[in-house]
Amino acid sequence: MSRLFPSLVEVAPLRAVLLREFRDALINRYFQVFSVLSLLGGAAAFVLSEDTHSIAFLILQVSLYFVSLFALLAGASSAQAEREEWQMLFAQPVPRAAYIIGKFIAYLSIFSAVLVLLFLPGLVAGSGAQRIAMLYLQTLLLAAAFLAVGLAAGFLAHDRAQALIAGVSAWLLFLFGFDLVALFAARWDFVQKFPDLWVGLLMLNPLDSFRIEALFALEQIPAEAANKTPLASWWIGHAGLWFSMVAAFWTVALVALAGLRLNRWEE
Amino acid sequence: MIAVEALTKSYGRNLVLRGMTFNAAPREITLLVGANGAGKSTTMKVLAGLIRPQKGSAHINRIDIVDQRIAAQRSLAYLPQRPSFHPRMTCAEILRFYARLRAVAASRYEAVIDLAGLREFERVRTSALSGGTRQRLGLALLLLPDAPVLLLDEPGLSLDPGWRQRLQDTLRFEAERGKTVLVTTHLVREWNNVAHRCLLCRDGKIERELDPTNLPHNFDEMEQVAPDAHKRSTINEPPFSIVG
Amino acid sequence: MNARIFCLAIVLGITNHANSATLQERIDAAAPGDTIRIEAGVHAGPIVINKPLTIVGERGAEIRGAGRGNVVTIAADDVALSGLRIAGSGLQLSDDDAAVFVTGNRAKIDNNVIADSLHGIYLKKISGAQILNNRIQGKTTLTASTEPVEKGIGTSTENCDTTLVANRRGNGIHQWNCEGTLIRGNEISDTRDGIYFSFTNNSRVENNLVHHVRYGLHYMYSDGNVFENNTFSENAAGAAIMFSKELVVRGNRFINNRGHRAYGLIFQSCDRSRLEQNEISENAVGLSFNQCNENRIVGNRVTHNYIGLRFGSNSDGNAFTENIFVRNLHPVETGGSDVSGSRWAVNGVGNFWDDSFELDLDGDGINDLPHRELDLFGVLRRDFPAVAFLSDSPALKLLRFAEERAALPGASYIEDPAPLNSRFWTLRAQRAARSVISSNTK
Repeated sequence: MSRLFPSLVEVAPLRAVLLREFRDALINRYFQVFSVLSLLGGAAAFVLSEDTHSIAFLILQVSLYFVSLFALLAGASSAQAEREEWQMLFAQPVPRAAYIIGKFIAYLSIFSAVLVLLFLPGLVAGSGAQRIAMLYLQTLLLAAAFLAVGLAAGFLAHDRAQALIAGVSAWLLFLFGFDLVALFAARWDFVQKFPDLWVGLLMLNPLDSFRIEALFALEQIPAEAANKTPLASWWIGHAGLWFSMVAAFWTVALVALAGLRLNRWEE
Repeated sequence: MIAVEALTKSYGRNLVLRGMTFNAAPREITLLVGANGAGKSTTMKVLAGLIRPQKGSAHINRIDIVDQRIAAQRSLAYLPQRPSFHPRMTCAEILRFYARLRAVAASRYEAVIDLAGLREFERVRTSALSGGTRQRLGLALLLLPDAPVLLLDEPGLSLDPGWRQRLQDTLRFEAERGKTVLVTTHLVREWNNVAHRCLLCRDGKIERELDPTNLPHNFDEMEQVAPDAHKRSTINEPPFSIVG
Repeated sequence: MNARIFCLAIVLGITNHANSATLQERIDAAAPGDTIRIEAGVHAGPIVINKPLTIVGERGAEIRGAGRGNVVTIAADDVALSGLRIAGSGLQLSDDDAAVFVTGNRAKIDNNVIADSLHGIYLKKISGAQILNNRIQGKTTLTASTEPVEKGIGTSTENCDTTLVANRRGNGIHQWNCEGTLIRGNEISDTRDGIYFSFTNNSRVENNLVHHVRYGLHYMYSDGNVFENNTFSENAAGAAIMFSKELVVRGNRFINNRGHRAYGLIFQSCDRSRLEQNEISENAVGLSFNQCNENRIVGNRVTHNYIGLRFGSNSDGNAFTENIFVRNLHPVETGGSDVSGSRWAVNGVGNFWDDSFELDLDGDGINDLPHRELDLFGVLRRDFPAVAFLSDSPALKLLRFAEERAALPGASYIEDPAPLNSRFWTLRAQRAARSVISSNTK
């Protein structure tokens, strides 16, 4: 980490980077689209849902698909936004990692505000403040993890197109690929002998962890048959805690990976 | 001041710098000239802290740019060959960012905008700027931090003659104020009687020093017409005449 | 000293009333058809009622057994028992110990509170009993049954379990070999099974609330019975109805029956019955349907279950129509069974599926394309229970989406040829209103 952040003594440059990234987030097109969608999604949940339970469910679907996707796209496009300015930027007396961390903090801060648009209608409709607050926090963690995926894809790629392709591929992998492989692997004798291994791998996917947390904790759907092994039982019992941990892990790991990549970048 | 000692840098099998060694002193404009691929821009990038050499050392005001990058970068300002910016930010946003970054006083910020003739472009997005205006924005950013070492990689390519002249005047002025100015260029003749020193760069190292008061007209042209000239020549026989 | 004993007697509530005669003495002394009013306070049991009597407890009246055998035995026809608290039966499952043990016909047991006993009310080989508005609470100090819900399916003994284990709970209302019973308005909790039916025909069970038991309704070998408007919640299984025929199960709520292998309603080996307008929600398995033939399943709401409908093998001739399947993690589990023998639409009216593709060009409230409900897990659920973690996964939704357009090889599914959309009920109500108006104008 000291290589990533060799000098933190001067606050002014870091503040400048942070302010710049806030500005960058505000003019990011994906972010602007996401803000509109959040508002529409929240309003649609409010108008179309038959009851408060359905509102939470609709918000959950929006979170699973759209929050993860747009956080990723915003991260990837942000990483590539000033790709050609890197020569100017990196000649300044600021650790390169500051740009990544600045982006992450700025984007997540603004995400936290925009997500209110999504959740506010549910709160107004009386979905339960505690339930909505819980869902909000989990969604923000999900956004953080996929923002980090996007930043990593953006900084590891050579250009904007490559960044978007890599980012969307990662999203598809987390959303569909992981579970499709898991579904087919579940038929193998070897996997059936070690169910905890299978469950453990599933637990590493932040989208799976988010889904399980939402299904069994927020949605209150009976966890029949799911908690047959020690690890599975623990997961069901601590779904919220685990999701927080796995989201934090991916966030830190991917931001660090992006930082390492940027630190080694040469043109 | 700038001290470069035996820099070596390769990209894969392509050896770009082969023991580049020179010094650039304060109060002087030092030109680094040479054909494309001679290693000028790579040297500049090493000095700006953008790339790390495999061997050798480079010091900015006696601070090692490789080992103490951030500290060394505090003493320099760098203008890349084709300055580019966040396309959706305005000139003012870009300038304000770099001003904050280098803790520049507001008065200097205003002066630099006027000096670079950017007042009317303050609210214009950088993607809408012409090449010349973008160069002027780069120039503004070069001057903004009042750094003791100025590095300019092929400056003025997109500038009209008037602004090229103003650039040279500004750099002379800055050198007289005590700054170390290092410029790479292949428009050699334009710098005749402007630079204090001129170093000819070839095959990743300094071949020899040229007379800054008598620089050739068509440096590139001569190199392209006789691409093998330098192979035939010895170190004491440059491929073109710098006299007349 | 006498004063002390008197005070103690008051505190314990053990006082002799009606000229110091015991309750049994008063019963013995009464003439058939008499009414005996039991004053407030604890009256010692057990008692045996062997003639037609009406026994009415005043507020605070209790009959307390000695912890052996039954507390109240109704051995005569036409006995009525109401307003009492009855407690303290024996705890021997092998002896069928109960708070109220009935062998007389047409017994009417209403507005009693039954507690601290093995079985609550035990009806044996009688007809015409009425069990109304009683509150039956099981003895919570006894061990709740931990046997799997499906254990015991197919047994046909008189006693309520194949293995009678000491120190276990009994049933709320237990019937064996009865006819024409009316069970209405009772609340039953913390017993082993709420209402137990065995070889009991032509009865009605209405408006009861059964919670925190093993089976809310444990029912077998009993035909022609009607269950209406009961609520079975928070049990291991809401109701298990087995080996019976010609039942009506209408307007009941089977909700929030959770835990391992918990069910809303198990329907096993039942024929020619009607399941109508029931609400089956928030259960591990909503409706389990196995080896059942020629039943009509109409207008039930199956929502928020882990598995909405488990459709087992050897079930033919069943008709599913106007049922609503919403927000179930797995709407239908077939486990590879052959489902072709049942119909998923009747007279062109299918069921509502929340993930059905809505295309209704003629605007009749029925989608123009059939709906396939795919069971992607199949036998994996049994072989590899952890696969449940893929529930509601986007990947599974993707597979379902693909399956709607091109059948996946080897995948098991049911097909509703006429899936309903949300406008169906509104349109039908409008049509009905129009026909009423037009008939009135004529």
